[in-house]
Amino acid sequence: MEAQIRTYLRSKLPQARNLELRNFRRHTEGWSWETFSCDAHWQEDDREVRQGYVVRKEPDRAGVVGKYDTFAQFTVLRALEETPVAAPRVFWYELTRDVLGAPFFVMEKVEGEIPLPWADTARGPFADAAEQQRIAHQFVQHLAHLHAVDWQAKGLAFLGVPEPGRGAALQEVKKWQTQLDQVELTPMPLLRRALLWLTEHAPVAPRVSIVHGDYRLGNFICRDGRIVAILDWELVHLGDPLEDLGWICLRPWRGRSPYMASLLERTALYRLYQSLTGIHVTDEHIRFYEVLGNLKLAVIHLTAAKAFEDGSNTDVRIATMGHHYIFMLKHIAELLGI
Amino acid sequence: MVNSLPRLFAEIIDTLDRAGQSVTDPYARSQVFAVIDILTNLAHRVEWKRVDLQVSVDELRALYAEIVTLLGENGTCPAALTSLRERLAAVAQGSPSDDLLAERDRLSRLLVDLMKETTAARAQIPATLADAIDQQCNAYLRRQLERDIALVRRPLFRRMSQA
Repeated sequence: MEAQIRTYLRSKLPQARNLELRNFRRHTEGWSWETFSCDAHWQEDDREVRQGYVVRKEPDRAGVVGKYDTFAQFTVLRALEETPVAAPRVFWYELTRDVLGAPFFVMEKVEGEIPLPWADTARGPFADAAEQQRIAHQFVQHLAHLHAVDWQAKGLAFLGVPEPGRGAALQEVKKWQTQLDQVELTPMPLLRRALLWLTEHAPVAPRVSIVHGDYRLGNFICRDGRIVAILDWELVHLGDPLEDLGWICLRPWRGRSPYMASLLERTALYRLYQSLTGIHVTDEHIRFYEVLGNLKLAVIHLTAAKAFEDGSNTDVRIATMGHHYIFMLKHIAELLGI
Repeated sequence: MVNSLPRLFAEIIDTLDRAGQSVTDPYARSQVFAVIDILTNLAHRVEWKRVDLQVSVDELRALYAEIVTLLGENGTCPAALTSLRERLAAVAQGSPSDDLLAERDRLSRLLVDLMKETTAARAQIPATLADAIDQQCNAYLRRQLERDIALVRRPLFRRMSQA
């Protein structure tokens, strides 16, 4: 793979002389896309040039979120380049399988740390309250920037524009219901109960925005106290911006901590988001998206389990999702008062 | 757990085989291959615990018997739910099956139908009846969830994610 990527980069940078790769690495953190990073060094005119690259390649095996869409991710990231959203810069994408065996895209490698939710303290990975508050403010700020992007002007209508009113919510309910229909190995009455509730209680979206779809701790890079890149855009779509807020509030991202996504308390999150966007946030609206978020996460787990069962993915970590989905069902039951 | 035992065992054995070849300590390596040997002999002797499946099956049958009673009270069943009542009655009175896993899945699918049809017919049935059916279904869902959660052990997310 390293040799193939080197050959590819040389073809894309004809002006580069003696291009070599250093620190080539395959990343194992994510369980879906295959991700490789490297530092490319070359000479151009009389200068030494260095650029870090990340290559995100669709996996050979089935993934956890269903169908992959290289083009959509690349195009959204490209569209965000002239906006205040901390999106990594993208360079090229290839839909052909001739180069690396599957579609892929190349983006900049951003240096920094990815704070993860696994820490044992209530504040997650943050050293103190001041650091947590700083990052929390930026986290919500970037989300507000994203939701304010004029997606029509940016040519992103191809993502699928929901019907007005309750259309955004119902579109997502239908999407995840269809996915569940395809991957259910054993009947899931509690998830089906949740789908009935969601269909009945779909809220009216305040507007249609770009929705990240997986906005949380673990999906951004920090450097020198700043969020410098937001990652993992494979669930991006057009929809109700409050869907991202509901996702942030999910229990899997915080355990018993009172801080949503280990960042800030619920009321503080609502208040900050409202002040930055002008969008009114209610508990009822967010509760809908917490139910939907837990259902989506459960279906993602069941998708992984199905891929394992039919042999299209042999990573045994995927198989653990075949019993971990139960935690999302527990959260759904609590939210619905079952 | 939603995956089948044969599939789980097959991949566990293959994974240990691949991982075992990277173990450099001879004693540790011998332990890995001994584990593979045991698992290979265990795989075709193991099935899901019958008592867990039996409890689910019995509770679902009891649920349907209760719903049949609710739907038959006061001598009339709402027209919108007549067909449902007949299907539930047939199951509640039916003979048990040896294939408990298939039986549990069949009865669970019927629960999905029950909830869907009750929701669809809500405007045509008394609110008290709809609420009573909901309560019975929710009580079953809650008990089944508690049983399922009791079987899951603390996840090893951190160790699985950090290579």
